[in-house]
Amino acid sequence: MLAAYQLTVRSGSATLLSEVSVAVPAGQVVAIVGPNGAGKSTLLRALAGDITPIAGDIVLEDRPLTIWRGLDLARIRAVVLQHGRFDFGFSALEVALLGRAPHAGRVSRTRDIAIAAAALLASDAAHLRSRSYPTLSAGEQQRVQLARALAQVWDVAADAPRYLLLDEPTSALDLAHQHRTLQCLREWALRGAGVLVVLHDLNLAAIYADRILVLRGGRPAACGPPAQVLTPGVVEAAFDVRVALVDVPELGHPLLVPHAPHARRSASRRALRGQ
Amino acid sequence: MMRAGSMPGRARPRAELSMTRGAPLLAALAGLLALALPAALGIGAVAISPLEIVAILAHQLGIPVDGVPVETRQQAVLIAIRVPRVLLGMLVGGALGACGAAVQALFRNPLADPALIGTASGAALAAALVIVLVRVPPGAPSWLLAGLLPLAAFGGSALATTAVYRLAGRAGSTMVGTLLLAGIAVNALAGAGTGLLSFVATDAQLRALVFWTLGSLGGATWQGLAGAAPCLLIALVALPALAPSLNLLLLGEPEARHLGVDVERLKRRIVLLVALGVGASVAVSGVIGFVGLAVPHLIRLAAGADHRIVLPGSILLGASLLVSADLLARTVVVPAELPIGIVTAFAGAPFFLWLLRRTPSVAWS
Repeated sequence: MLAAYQLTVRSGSATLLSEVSVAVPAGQVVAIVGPNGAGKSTLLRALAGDITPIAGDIVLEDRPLTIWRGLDLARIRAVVLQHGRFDFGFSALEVALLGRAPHAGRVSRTRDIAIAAAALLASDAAHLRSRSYPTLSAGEQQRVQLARALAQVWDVAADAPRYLLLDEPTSALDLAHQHRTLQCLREWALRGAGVLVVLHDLNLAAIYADRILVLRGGRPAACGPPAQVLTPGVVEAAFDVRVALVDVPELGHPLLVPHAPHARRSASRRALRGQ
Repeated sequence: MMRAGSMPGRARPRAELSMTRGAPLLAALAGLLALALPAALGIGAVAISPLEIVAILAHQLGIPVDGVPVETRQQAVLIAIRVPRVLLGMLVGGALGACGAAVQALFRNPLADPALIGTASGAALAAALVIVLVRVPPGAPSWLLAGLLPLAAFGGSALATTAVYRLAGRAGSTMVGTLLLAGIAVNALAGAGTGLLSFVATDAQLRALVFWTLGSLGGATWQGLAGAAPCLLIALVALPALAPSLNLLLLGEPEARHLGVDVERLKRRIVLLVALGVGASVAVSGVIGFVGLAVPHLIRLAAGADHRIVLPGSILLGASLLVSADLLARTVVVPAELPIGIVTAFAGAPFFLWLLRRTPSVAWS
């Protein structure tokens, strides 16, 4: 299990997170949602060890995160941050292969290439494998980065722990690939991985997450299974948007729908008045 | 499972693994160097044929060679002038190529170059300080100065590189605009310092300073070579060993850390080794620009971005290019000699402009 207890993060005088707790057990997808600036990425980066909290504890597999050796960590845990772009002409396959670096010398090169190729297939980027990474679209780059992360934790022993931490892995993806990506993460959770994912789309979170943490202003606003957390009351309080929970019998789960007509009318009125 | 590689109805634009194209490329580059060496050793005011070169070198090593008449003049020119000069050109060219590739990985930007970002001018300033201000006592052995120059140049380039890195680095990546502006500032500061030193320098010191700022292999001696070679060799051996980590660094600093790289240690090593390589290069041959920029680029164009190919490839190509450029510098305007920095700048600056044109705009954000 990867867990944070009463985490507080400050940057200068600003408090980015205050007393946030979250647990990512093996076999579960945990989603962090919240409005812009709520501290979602900060929480993920703290759990990834990039940011040092001023208070609170982070524990991975019963050991404090800070005492883990970088390489041991890299063998069981992969992280995908936002903005994974660079201007060097690696092919997509080579980028996925970079995920195999922590296992260098333990696995044959042929095996590494097979794993990288399989990871590209899993993130639906197999057809991009010989394309130069900088020439890919943002969504394609995002899928290659996902493949890189999957390759990193691909073949640890069956009962060994492994974790995936992803910051908005669907932000540049089309509708089909948003679902494919989360479906893929869901499958990894089924096979025992702990998955922590920052999402903006509440409906995606509702469909694929086992638990959802709603952040607002650096504080937890709600935490629990989707049905408990994504209620109109919680969402309106966290996002300042009126929503309705609409049952769609064909889907088998309800959808959150914002009261868009009202919002648009008032926004256009304000714009008109401004002129 | 997926079918490996084949994509029907579509030409594959590039090999999907740098390594597959790497081996033949490295072999070709080694061949190029093997052609450049006898040319550079043989061509000049005193012509020496490849056969004579072999005979003289064999004789020097104590192996008698019969049947090849060799003049004493040829032997003197080859051993005292050409061999140290060509060896120096090889080492300096190789070091500049490798350092260029390493700096580009450090800044995560394919347009970084040791001369553009101040590494070289910092070294030049430190070398100028030694030339003008250090009084070597009359009785002191001359190797003292030969050893002091690379050390000072190393310190100067380490300082300048660290300063530019601190100024341009934000949140794990660098903005190329900030990087170049910081480089301009450091270059201007170092240039002003060197200018001030040339103002107070004696005539003899001034000649040495001009040689520094333009770059030349003309001052190559066995003694200078002995002072710089250890530094250059360390950079040439240790930088390629960092190749796998440099590949990961291209993803970004946090990303490299998540893949098990000790990023802070890696960055310290890069700055140290680049300062060693560029510092020693500047100490013996002055500021030679654009080799560090152009050479890694050519290798990447041919074989992709994998540093396991880019670094050895840059060393081989850098060595061939500098040895050839030096041959050009000393033969186009005989009996005079062009500073090699001018030759590489004439060839390199248009190349840089061409790169600016073809690099996608994302590199500038």
